[in-house]
Formats: sequence, C-alpha cells, structure tokens
Amino acid sequence: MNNKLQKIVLVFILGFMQIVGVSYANKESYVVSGLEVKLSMPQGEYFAADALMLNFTLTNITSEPVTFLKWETPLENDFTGDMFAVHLEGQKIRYIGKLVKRAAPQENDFITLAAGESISGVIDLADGYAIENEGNYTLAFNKHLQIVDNLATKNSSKLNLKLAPANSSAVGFMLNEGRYMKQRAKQANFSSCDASQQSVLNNAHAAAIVIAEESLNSLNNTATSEQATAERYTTWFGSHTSSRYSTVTSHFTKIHDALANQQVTLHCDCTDSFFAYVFIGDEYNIHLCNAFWNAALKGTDSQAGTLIHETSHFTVVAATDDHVYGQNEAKILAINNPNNAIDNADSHEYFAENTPALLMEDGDGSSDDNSDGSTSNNSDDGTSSASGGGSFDQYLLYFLMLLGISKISRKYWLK
Amino acid sequence: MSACNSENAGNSIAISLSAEPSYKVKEAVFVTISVTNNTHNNIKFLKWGTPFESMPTRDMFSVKKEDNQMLPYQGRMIKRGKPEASDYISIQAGQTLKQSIDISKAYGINESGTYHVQYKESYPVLEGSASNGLLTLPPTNSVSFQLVE
Repeated sequence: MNNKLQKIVLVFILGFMQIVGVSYANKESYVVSGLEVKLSMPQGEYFAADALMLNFTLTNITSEPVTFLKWETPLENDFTGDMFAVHLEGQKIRYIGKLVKRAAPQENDFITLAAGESISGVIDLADGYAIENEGNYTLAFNKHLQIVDNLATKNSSKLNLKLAPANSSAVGFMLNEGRYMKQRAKQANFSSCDASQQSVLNNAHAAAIVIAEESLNSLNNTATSEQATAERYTTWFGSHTSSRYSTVTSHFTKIHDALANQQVTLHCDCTDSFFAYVFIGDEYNIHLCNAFWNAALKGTDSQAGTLIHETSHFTVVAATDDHVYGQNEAKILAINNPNNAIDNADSHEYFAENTPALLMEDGDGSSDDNSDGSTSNNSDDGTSSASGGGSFDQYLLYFLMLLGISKISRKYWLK
Repeated sequence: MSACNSENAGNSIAISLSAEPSYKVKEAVFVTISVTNNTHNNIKFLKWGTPFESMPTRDMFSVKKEDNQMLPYQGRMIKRGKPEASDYISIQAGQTLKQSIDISKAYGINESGTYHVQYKESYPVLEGSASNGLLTLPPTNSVSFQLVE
C-alpha cells in the first residue's frame, strides 16, 4: 500500500470513529446477541423457473431492547455479502452476490427490536448463490451481527458495537430440475454524471429491470382466455387481439433484455425541462433531463418508468413512437386506436409502472406481484417491516447517539 | 390524400410543405410547413411532435431517396411532463402559420441525389382537451429537392 493511500485510509478510519463513535476495543469479544434467527421457504419443492424466496425472521428473545446493524442480512432485501451456508448434498454452493464497500453507518442502517419483537425480510436465494443443479439443498444463516452494546454505550457516550453470532437451524428444499444460474444485470455506464446522480441512476436502472421483468411475466403468465378481459392490458393497449398481445409481449421481452443484458449508457448532459430523450438509432444511450431528477423512483411518470419509456423507443428494441403523452391521453388512445397504443412509448411505461395497480386476471387479486411496490412507494425501498416498534424512536435514538448525548435516562428514549 | 381531410368538416385545416430546389451536402435542409386555419374559430394546440418545435422531436416526415428507399428517422424521442403555456401554439381563424425545420440530421440526409419529402398526418392535442384526435394535421403534398456536392 502506498503512503498516500495509507493516509487516506487512516483519515477515513479516524473520521468514521469520530462520526459514529465506534469503539473497536471490544470487537473481538463476542456477546450473545439475544436475537433468534428463523428461516423458512414457502415451498418444499421448486422448479427451474421458480423464484427461491426465503423468509428471514429475527426475534428479540430477551426482555430488553436490542439494536443491531442490518448490514449483510436479508433485512436489506438484497444480497450484500455471503450470509448463508448453502449446500447441495454436502457440496458448498458458491456465493455470487454483491460484496459491498461501506461508509460509516447512518441512523437508518440500525434496527431496534423491543423485547419479543420480530422483523422479517424476504430474499431470492438465487440472487446470491450459484444454484444450478437439481437435488436436495440445505441452508443456514451463518453470520455475526453487529449489535449495539447498550451498557457500554451508556457509560462511554459512544456507540459501542459488538459482534454476536447469529445462527439459524438449517432449512432444506428440493430443486426438481436444473436451472441456469441467474445472470447478473449489467451495470449501466455513465456519462457526465456525478456521484449522487450515479447513485440515483443505479437505483432507477435496477427498478426499471424489476418492472420490465414483472411486466413480461404478467404478459406471459396470463392465460389466453383471460387476456381479452385483463384490465391492465386493455387499459393501456386497448381491445385485445392475439397479434397485438404478442407484439406487446415481444416489446417487453426486448425492453427487459436491453435493460438487463445490454450495455446501457446513461447521460447527465441535458438541462431541458422534460424527463429524458434518446436518438432512436443510438441504442442504449439515454439522456436524462430536469424532470427526471424530480421524479419518484417508482410509480406514475417515475424514474424507473422513464427508462422503460426511453428504452422502448430504440429501433432495435420496440421502435415505439410518441403518439400521445400522459395517462389520460394514453387511456383515450387505447380506446380509440389500439394499433397506435401498442406503438406508444408512454403506454408501455404506464403498463410497467402499473400505478394504480390493475390486474391481468379476474378474481382474487393475488396474481399481481407488483401491487405492493407500486401503490406505496413513499417509504423506504424495503419490503421488510417491523411488527410493531416505531421507527421514529429509532431515528431519534440514533440522532441522539450520534451527537454523543446518550447519558439521558434510557427510559426516556428506549421504550 | 389531399390537404382536405374527410375527418374535419369543411376543409378546416389546410397544410402544405415547401422546399428549396437544392441543398448542399453537409448543410442544413430547411423545409417549410404552412398551416392555415380555415375554420371560424381560433385553435390552440400542443406543439409537441409537430413542426412548430425548434427541431424534429418525432418521426413526422416521410423522406425517400430516388430509389424509393425510405430514410429512417434518427432524431430525438422525448419523454414529456405536463405541458406548460409555452408548449401551445395558436392559429387565429383565417390565419396561416409557417415554420421552417431542418430535417438533415434527423433523417440522415447526407448523400447527393434526389429526395422526396412529405409531412405525415398527426393529431396534436388541443388546449383544454383530454382527447387526442379532435385536431388533425393531414398529410401534405410531397416535395422534391436535390442534394448536391
């Protein structure tokens, strides 16, 4: 390591300790976390196309509140580290998920569980592990959590973290047929984008891939007999014909492929008032403009949806036109001119955003995987939720802690 | 189809296209659109995707070379927000509005030869209406020009 780098690292570490007041003196002394880890998978058997959704639940089994860092747990709703031991008939399965370099933890990186309280997260095992061959799999959570040492923190007016082992008992599932390992979505390139813009764009790109995939799955999984009455389809694309339906399906196949597998380059060189533009023959180069930066990540006319709209324009993708703009106009276009609706970029965007959520099938409403994400996107991006426990208390707690004012009576800020 | 559009009662909107006889390679190719409001009412519509913006923002022309080969649109496509007052344009009853627009880059007009251009039909949105299709800008006459070295 060269000298300059050492200095930078030293400054970083000192800054980290000053900001958060982390005491590393106790780093090696393991404590019992008081958190019980439970894993469950809704199915015992899976087929190649199934998502391998895993439920992860942490319960505070002590009589005191426990505060811990959610990093590298499924509570981040993403793989950010190798957190499970996964085996196929005794053979360890390789981790293929992200590894993350972190800055200092912020208030919202911590979670406090009151005595007896639980929190859950859901994660697709196939996002993190190279699960390919059929057979019987076992997995267990196998990780040390960083928990806040309340007593040490109280006495030292610094945030003291301790490592505590958190292991679950093993769960098993059977994969009935071989599958392809999940291909990681290609990261976008950036042009003239600063760090904060890149971070916004990475989220928007990821969210666009999610809604493109969800759209494609919805189109593919709707039975032929239900397509003509699928409200989500007919609202945006008008009266059903099998030819138009298959055109829309092929559009979303290509939109998803472009966003997930092709090299997308996002440009931050536009200062016009509208959302974005592309040159239709200049595939996968998307220029983001002023309105984009003020849009929400998900929902109507969102950042994710804008990327769907622009991607659909490319000649090599769906070569869509802009016959009309806006939800009202797009709905009228679907009624008056379905052939133009299936050629209209905003119609594709609104189908994908699906806000407010419409169904592809009659009946129970459970078929719509997107309804949770699109109807309430105002909070954080997680699907994890504490069963009880106010997050305001958590924020207040860590705000106080970060200021080093932790000598206030514990019952004042910890329930 | 002529400038008289059957969907608009009484020859309401007349539209025509004109061009210079020749342009030079690598220079701008400005063609001129004239729109006449032959109705008894003033009309106000969104400029978006019409020639009344400063540059092509949509595939609004059909451009062919002498061999009848269609030149693909290569210009911008834009995702818009809500329209603002300045996004609308008015044509008073009986008035004609002219707009010149450079189509060279948007259609890759860069090899010498003869070209034929026509404005395609479009349906701009009228102010205050949430319904596309009330106003028709019908297709124009086709004009021809030479691109010379």
